[in-house]
Amino acid sequence: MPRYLALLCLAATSCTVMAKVYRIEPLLPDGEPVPQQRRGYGHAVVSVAGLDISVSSVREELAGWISPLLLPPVIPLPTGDRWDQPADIVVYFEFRPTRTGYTFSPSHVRLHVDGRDSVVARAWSGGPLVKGGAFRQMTHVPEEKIEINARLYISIAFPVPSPLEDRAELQIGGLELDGAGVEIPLLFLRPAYSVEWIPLS
Amino acid sequence: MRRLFALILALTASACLGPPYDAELRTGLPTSRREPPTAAPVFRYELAVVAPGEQVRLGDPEAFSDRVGVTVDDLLRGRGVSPERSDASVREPRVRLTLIHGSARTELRAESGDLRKTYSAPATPPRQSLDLLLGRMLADFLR
Repeated sequence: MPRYLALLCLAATSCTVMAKVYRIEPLLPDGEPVPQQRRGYGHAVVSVAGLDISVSSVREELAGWISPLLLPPVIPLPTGDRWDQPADIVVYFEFRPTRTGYTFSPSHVRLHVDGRDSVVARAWSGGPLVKGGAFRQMTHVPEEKIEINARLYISIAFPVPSPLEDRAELQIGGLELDGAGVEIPLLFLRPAYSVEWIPLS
Repeated sequence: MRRLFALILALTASACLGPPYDAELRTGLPTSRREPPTAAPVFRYELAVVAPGEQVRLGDPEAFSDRVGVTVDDLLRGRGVSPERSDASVREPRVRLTLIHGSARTELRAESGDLRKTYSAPATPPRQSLDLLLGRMLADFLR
């Protein structure tokens, strides 16, 4: 019986799922990378009086495979054809205000990739987090000015082909407090590729 | 949409990883408010703080920069000035401070009118590092 139990444990623990992952990592204004957290997401927090802004970007699995019983990776996993589609660079913002008076214009956020002109948002989507953690999805025109009166998630798409090839500067403009502009330090984004173990549960 | 939910999960999980920067800064904070000397010069400033998400506890009743600002105020009082924290909506002259706390180094950028300076120090120990940076900044900006 102990022998079967040991074999069962071996089978359960030695079957792994791996994936090749592409992600865009945020960097602090001094160029230091932000450590990755659970499932490879890393985010930078910019905080001003009465407002926390969390900034992150995409993480995509390019290829996946299963390695059973300590064998080399042999079974490919389907990952869809999303990678083959033309896509924009998307940056996610989470706003958490603790005071009123802040507004945000997504059209003033700029992305600058070396060797190219700065680009502004093509579109943005998102909205307030509603009761129970559900997310009310809305799509908007970039010129809109949003009042930040509650927790807010926004994703901004920039007309820069994905995958990002080089480091990019992210200039978060368009934030105002009681009508006065709030300067946010420049952040950076950089592409990264890695092979990651994917938890089965 | 799935990615956005995963992101929300990751952000929520950040509270469980490591001690937040503002908590580390409060280590050694006096229990009673430190008072600057009588007739201490007033130092009006606006604070922005940038840090990796894993070092920030989100969802507090106070914003992260406001929590860090409590320590900045205390350290400024300890250096003999009377701090007045301001924000972007106030029109009065002030020094704009940007504190960037990375895992290896902490950087303080200060800006007032045409004067711009950047100061850098090892990130740990956090409170001593910030105190050192504020001292160097005050030498340039307290007129």
